[in-house]
Amino acid sequence: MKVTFNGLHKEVAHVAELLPGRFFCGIGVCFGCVAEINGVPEVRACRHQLRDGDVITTQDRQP
Amino acid sequence: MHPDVVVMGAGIIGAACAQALHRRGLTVLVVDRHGPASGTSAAGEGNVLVSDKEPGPELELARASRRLWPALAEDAEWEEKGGLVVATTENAVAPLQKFAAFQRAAGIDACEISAEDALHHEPHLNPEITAAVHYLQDAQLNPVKATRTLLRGIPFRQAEVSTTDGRSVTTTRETISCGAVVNATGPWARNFGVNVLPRRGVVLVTTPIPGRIRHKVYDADYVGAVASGDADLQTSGVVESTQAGTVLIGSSRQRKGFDDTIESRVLKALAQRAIAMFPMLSTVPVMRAYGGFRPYAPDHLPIIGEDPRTPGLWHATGHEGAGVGLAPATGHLLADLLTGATPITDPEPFRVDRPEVMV
Amino acid sequence: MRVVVVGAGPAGMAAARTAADAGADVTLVDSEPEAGGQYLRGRARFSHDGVTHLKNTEAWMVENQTLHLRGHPPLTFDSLVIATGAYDRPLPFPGWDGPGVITAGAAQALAKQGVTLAERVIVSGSGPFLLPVATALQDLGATIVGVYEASSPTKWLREARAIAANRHKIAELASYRRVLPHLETRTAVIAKHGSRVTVAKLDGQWRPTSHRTEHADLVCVGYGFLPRTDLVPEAARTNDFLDVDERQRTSVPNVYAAGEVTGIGGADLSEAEGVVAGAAAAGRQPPPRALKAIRNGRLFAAALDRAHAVQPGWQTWLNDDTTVCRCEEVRRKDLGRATTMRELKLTSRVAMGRCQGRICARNAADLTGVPFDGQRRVIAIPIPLGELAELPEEQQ
Repeated sequence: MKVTFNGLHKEVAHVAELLPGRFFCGIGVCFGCVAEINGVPEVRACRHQLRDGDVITTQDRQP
Repeated sequence: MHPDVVVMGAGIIGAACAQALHRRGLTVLVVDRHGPASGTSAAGEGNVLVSDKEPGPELELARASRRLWPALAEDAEWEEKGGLVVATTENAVAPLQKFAAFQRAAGIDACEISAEDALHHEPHLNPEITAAVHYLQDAQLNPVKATRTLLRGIPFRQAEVSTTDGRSVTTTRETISCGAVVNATGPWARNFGVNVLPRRGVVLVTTPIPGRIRHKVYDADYVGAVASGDADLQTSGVVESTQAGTVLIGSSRQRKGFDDTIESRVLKALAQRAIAMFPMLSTVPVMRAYGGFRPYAPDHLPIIGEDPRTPGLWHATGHEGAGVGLAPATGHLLADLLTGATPITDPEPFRVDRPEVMV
Repeated sequence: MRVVVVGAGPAGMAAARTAADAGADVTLVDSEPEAGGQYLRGRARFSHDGVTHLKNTEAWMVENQTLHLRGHPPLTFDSLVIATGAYDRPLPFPGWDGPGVITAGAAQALAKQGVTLAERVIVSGSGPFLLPVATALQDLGATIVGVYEASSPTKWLREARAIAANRHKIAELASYRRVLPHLETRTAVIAKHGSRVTVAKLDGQWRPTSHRTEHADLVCVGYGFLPRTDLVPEAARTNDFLDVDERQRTSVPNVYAAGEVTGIGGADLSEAEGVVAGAAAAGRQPPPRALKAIRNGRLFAAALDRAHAVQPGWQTWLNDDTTVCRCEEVRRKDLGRATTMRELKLTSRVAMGRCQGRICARNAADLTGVPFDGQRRVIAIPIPLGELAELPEEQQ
C-alpha cells in the first residue's frame, strides 16, 4: 500500500509497520496507535483498513 | 491517643482545617472512611475562583483563600491561569457587565474586554460571543495533591465515623476521646446534624489537545445556574484544560440524592454547551466522564462554626462547588474561632444556627 | 422480544443464533468488519435468520434499556448479552514500551492478516494461548527464537479432573507440535534493548534466577487476559471478570454475559455460554447439553487460572525508570504512595491517558498495593463531542 506517513511517501503491507512502539495491542484497546487518518483525528490505526493514498499523521503529545 | 481535635473527612476542607489547627500547635487526627480527597474534592476541576461570586460574605472568604493558596499549593500544580467569562447572546451582555462592575467595586480584577481581545486570549473561542470579562485572579490546582500537601505531618486514620458527641468520635473500630470534633464530611455532613444535600455534577474529559485552551472559560449564565435552587438538571458551559493537555468540560447541577448514574442527556447538554463556546471541540473525543456530589446548603453559604446544640462539635461544610477555592480561609476561620483568635473574615454569615441549616 | 448482543466472537454469534431461533428479534453489534471476534478473525461467515448484524459499530454506553452506539441510532432492548471478550495482559519490563514489543493477541491478529512484522520472534507470557500464536507466526515464515512460559508445567499435574473432562483440549496441543521444541517453561523476557533480549529463568514466584541474551526483532507478550467489561461498569465481578449465574445473568437487570468477559476457558466454553445466554435472554430454558459443556469448560478454566496465575515476582523485572503507563509515560518511580486507585491516578496520572488504564491499571495496582477495584468507565470508548451533542432526544 502506498501511503503518506508524517509527510513522507511510504510503501507498507500493514499500518503496524508505520508505528513501531505504538502499535501494541492490535485490537483497539491500548490506543497506542492513535493517529490522524485522512483528516480524522484520534483514529486507532489498528482498526483502520489501509488503502492506497491514505494520509496518516501521528499525534505526538507535546511536552 | 487523645488528640485535641478529630477532623472527620479528609477532603480539601478537612485537610485545610487540620492544617490550620496543626499550625496553631493543636494535636489533630484526621479520619476518613476511604482516603485523602476520595470524594467530592477529587470530582471537580480544582478551581480557585473569584469570578463566579457576587460581592458578599462568600466572595470575602474566596478572596482570603486566594491570598493563602499560593504558599500552600506549591506542590499541587498551582496555576494562575485566569478566567474568561463570555456572554453568548445579546441579552446576556448587560447582566454580565453589571455583575463585573459590581465585583470591581468590591475590589476584584474584572476587566471588560472586547470580543476581539477575547479571541486573542482564546483563539479557538466562538467569534460570535457578545461580551467578555477577564478575571486575572482565577486559578487552578490539583486538588488531590493539594489535599495531600495540607495533610503532610498530620496523623490520619482510615475509619468510618458512626457518631460523635463533640468530645469523642466513635468509629466502626474504636471510640476516640478528644477536645473537639470538626465535621468536614462534605455532602455527607447531614449525618452529623446540618442540612447539607448532595448536588450532582458531571465533568467530561477529552483526549489531550495541549495548548489549545488556555484559561478557564465559561458562559456568563453559569453564575445563575449556581445560584439557582432548582432540583432539575441545569447545565452551563465551563471549559478549561489541565496541565496534561486534556480539556475538562462542565458544568451540570442536579439534585437527585446520591444517585451516581451518568445520564446521556447530561453528556449531550454538556457537549452542546462546550461546542457552542469552542466549535473546534466538535471533533475532539471525550475519553472519560466522572461525577461527584457537591455539598449544597439551601441558602448557598458555607457552614463554619460550632454547633450550639452540641458543644465541641464544629462544622466546616456546605461549600457546594467552591470547596477548593474556599478551603484555606475556611480552615483559618475555623481555627480562629476554635482558639479564640481574631477571625480572618466575619464569621456571622457562616454560623451554624441559620434556620435553613439546623435540622 | 428484542435481544441485543454485543460482540460477534464465538460467544456472541452463538447467543445471537440461539436467541433468534427462540423467536427473538436480535441485533448483533460488532466493532469489526466481519464476525468471528479475535478467535475466528476474518474466518467466520455469519448470517442467520432473525439476526441483524451491525458491523464496524462500537457500543459506548448502556443506559437503562438502551445501548448507545457510535455512528448509529441507539438500540433499545429487552435483554442485552455482553460478549465483548478479553485482551492480553502485558507485564512491564525495561524496553516493553519501545519498538519490537507487541501483545501476543496483536501478533495473532496480524498473522491472521498475513503479517509478521519481523524475522526473529519471541513469544513470552503465560498460558496455552502462546502456542497458537507462535505456530501462526512460524507458518508465515518467522523464525521462532523461543516460546517462553513463565509458569511451571508441573502445576497441571494437580489438575487431573479438569483434564479428564476436557480431553479435546489436550488433543489440540498436537496441532502446535512444530513449536513445542522451542517451548521453555519457567522462563520469561525481562528486558529488551534493541534486538538484545534478556531472557531469565524464573523461580516459582517468577523472580529471575539466571539470565541469558537472545537476539530477536519482535517480542510478543501475554500474561493471561483482562476482560472488556466497560459497558457494564456497575456489574458485580470477581478479579474483574463478570459474575454470572447458571443462566449467564449478570448482577445488572436484563443484562447477560457470555464468553471471555466471564473467564478464560477457550472458544468451546465461550460458545456454550453464548448458547445459554442467548436462550435465557430470549426467555427460554437453556439446552442441557450447553449447560453440561459449561460445567466441564469451567473446570478447565479454573485449572488454567490456577496453573498460569501471574506471580508477584514480575515486579522485580522493572527498575525505577521502567514505564508502567504507556499513555502518560508514568514510570515506576512516579507512582508514589496512595490509598485508593483514584488517589493513585490523580497524583501520578497513571491510567489517566487514552487507554484509561486498560493496559496499566491492574499492573499499577499490583506495584503499589492499592486495591484494584476494577475500573468504572462510563464511556466505553472515546466519542467525539460532536456526536454526543447530536444524541437523539430521549423518548419520554
